[in-house]
Order: sequence, then structure tokens, then C-alpha cells
Amino acid sequence: MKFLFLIFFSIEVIYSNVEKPSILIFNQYDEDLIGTSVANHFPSKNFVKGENINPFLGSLDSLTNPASGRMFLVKDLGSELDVDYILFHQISGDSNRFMLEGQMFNTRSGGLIKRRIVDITNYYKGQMNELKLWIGDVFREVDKEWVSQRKQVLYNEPSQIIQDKTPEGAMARSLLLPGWGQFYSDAYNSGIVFSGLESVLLTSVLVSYLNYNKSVQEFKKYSKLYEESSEQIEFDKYRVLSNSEWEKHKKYNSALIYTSIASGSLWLINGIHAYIVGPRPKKDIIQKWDVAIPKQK
Amino acid sequence: MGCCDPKTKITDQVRLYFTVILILSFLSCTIYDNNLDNPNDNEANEELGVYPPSLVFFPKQQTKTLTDTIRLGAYIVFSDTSIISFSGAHLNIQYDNSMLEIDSLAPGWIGPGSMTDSNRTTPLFTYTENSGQLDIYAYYLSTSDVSIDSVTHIAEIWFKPKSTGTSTVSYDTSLCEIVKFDENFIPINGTREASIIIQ
Repeated sequence: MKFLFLIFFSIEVIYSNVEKPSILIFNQYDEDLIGTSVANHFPSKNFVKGENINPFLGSLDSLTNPASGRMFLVKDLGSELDVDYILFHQISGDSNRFMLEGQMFNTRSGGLIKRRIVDITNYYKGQMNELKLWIGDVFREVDKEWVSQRKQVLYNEPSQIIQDKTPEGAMARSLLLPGWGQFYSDAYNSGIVFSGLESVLLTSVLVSYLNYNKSVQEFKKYSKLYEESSEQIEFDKYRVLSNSEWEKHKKYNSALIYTSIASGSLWLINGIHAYIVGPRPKKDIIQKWDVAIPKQK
Repeated sequence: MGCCDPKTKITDQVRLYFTVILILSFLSCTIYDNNLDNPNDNEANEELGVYPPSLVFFPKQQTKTLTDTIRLGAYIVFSDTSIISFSGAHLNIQYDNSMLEIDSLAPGWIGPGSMTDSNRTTPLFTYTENSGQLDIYAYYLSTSDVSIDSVTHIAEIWFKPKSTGTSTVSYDTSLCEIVKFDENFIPINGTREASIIIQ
């Protein structure tokens, strides 16, 4: 019964354009929002509007094999309605988000031949244009005006979008200079904390090293004087001084090691922290086609 | 992964960071040995198993050329808390006369102070030298006990080098004697030799 409605609406189109590829199109969106039908933009194609959209609403990624998961449904529809392709569009979103999923099936094989997921924030008045670009991409009939329109509101090519600030960039900066990545990510408080703590620890490392170095020099000097002294009053004095400097050089060496470990660890933590708090877009502007989406149980 | 991939850059940075830390750690972890050794120091001698009273030379080692003069001090090292009424000594010193020859000798001193100190006590001092064997006799002719330091300088010996090589100067304890004020012998518990390198 459900397909009778489809036949009723599409029969005239099918028989008037026998030579053109026929496409059964299922749209799940508000026509008023999108505006004119996409069929008007592709006069060389014979569009048949499908009515019962429900079989296509389930997530494609939840199927064992997304490419062939709807094979029987697509083939049945193809033979029943005598169409070459089936196009399914789903548009959802709120006031500042536009999400489009486009799926293209071949009715002869029943397989998915093309798919596109578009997820854009703050993309106003471009929904219909994005839909046209997707269908145009499918049929290789992209109008330059559509590309030009996208350029005006979005980017030339979604795959070429380069984020100005990235978590990797923040981490790289913090590994070079503690706190830099946090400042770069506008996390000023943690930037101040990390740069301050690291400065204190590095100063401690430097002070420990200078004291260690001084103690070593003094130890060598007093050891030499001790060995060169034949009189008891002198070598007694130099032995005490030499032992004292030797103890100091051990103490400063330990301080140097511990402050270096602390400084190095904090430096590393600061890099990881910068990656965690690093700037990220709130949503992916354009999802890649090969994004692995967890399958529903 | 290309050369400009951010993840590659970060991996390189982390690797460089750990390399620097490791290098700094290795460079900074040097703990020097505290092997203080002075033959006149009783503490150092006891660590080597040479107990007082001992006969030593100072310095323990020296490197000279054939044109140099070699100066060597002969000392008796008593315990820091010694109350022995030391009065005189006979030192029998062995050396390699094919490499060294005696140039001159000078008596040491007893009591606090150095050789230039007016408080020093000059002993009655004689010596004999015979083919690599030097016998020194030093007596302090005081009528009462002499206040002594733990380090007592008996003699200063100057050698002339004759040929290159390494030579040792040592005491023959079977012939050496240390006597008290009452002419009783004080047992000798250890000796240390001196090493002379002639280049």
C-alpha cells in the first residue's frame, strides 16, 4: 500500500523521461526550510520522490556491512519503481547547526555507492547550496555558482580547513617553553602556574648546579693543598675543608638530580596538560568520510 | 606521515626532550672519590693500614726530569694523642743508586713550627751513605722531655737523578730505631715508601 503512493506521484515523471537516469529521492527535512526542490537544479535527471522514508532512517553504521546492509530494500525498490539510483537525504540541526547526511545507492547492485556527512556550525542560508553540492558531486554536475556561494559563507573546500590553533600546537609550544601552550590556549591561570613553578624549579636546578660546581672546584683545590702540606696544622685544616666541600658537592649533586627530575616531570606534565586544554573546535565542521563511528549494540 | 605532520613534530620534540634530560643527568651525576692521602696524616695512614708510630716520606710521589733536584722529607708520624717522650732516631733508607744519588741532607726539627720557626729544636745530626743505603742518626739533646707534634721531621734529603725511570725510596724497618728519652726503643708499627718518577 505504501508504495502505491510513490507510484502515483512518480509515474508521470518516469514515463516522460525514459532516457534520463531515474533517481528515487527520499528527503527527511522541512521543505520550507530548504526552499525549492533540488530536482529543479538537475534538469537532466529524472527524480522520483519517495514517500516512505522509514526504512532508511536507521543508522547505516549500525549495520554489519554499511555498504551492502540495505541491498534487498534498495533492489526491491529499484525493480518495483524502475529507478536507477536511490538518494536519501537527512537534514537535522538546531538554530546554529546544520547536519546533512547524504546516501547514494545503486538499485542494480543494491550497494551504497556514495555517502557524505556534513556537520557545520553557524552555517546560515547555505543548507540548500550544500545539498546541491552533494548531489552535484554525486552526478559530477557541480555548478560553479554553488562553489562560489559556499566560498562566500564557508570555505573553498571543507577538507582544506586548517585550524589556526590545535592541541598539538599547544603541546608543542609548552614542550618548548612551559606555560606557552596554556597561554596560547587562553588558559591563563594554568599558564601562570606552570611557567611560575617551572621557573622556580629551573632556578633551583641552576643554583644547585652552580653550588655543585663551586664545591667541586673547592674540593679539588683543598685536596691539592692537603696533599701538598707536610705540616700537621696545615693538612689538618685542609682535610677538614676538603671533607666539608666533598659533603657539599654530594648534597648539591642530589639536589641537582631531584630538582632536575621534578623540573623535567613538570615540564612533561605541562606539555600533556597543554594538549588536554588545547584549543579544539566545538564540533567537527566537516566530518571525514572514513570516521569510525561506534556501532550500536 | 609527512615531514610537517604535527604528530611527527611532537614525537620528535618529546624524543629530543628526553635525550637532553638523559645527557644532563649523566653529566651532572659525577660524585668524586674522597681519597685524601697525605703520608704525614695519621688518619690517611690508618685507612691504609699503616699505624703509628710510622716512618714515612713526604711527598709520597713526585715526577721530575734529569735536570731537577729531588727533595724528600723523612718523618716519624706519631699518634695525635701520643705522649711518648721521643728523643732520637736511626733511619735506614734504601734507594736505587743506579737512578739516584745523594746531593745533600739537612736536619729536620722537633716541636711545633716549621723549619723557619725560631722555636724549633735542632738535633745532633749525622749520616752515612753507602751504595744505595743511607743511615741517618738524629738525637735531641734536651735535658727534659721534648714536647713533640704527631709529625716529627727527622731529615730533608736532596737527590740528584742519574737516569730515567721509576724508583722507590723506602725504610728498612729491621735497621731503623726510635728511642725514648730514657733510651728505650719505641716499636715501629708501619712504614710508607716514596715513589720518584724521572722523565
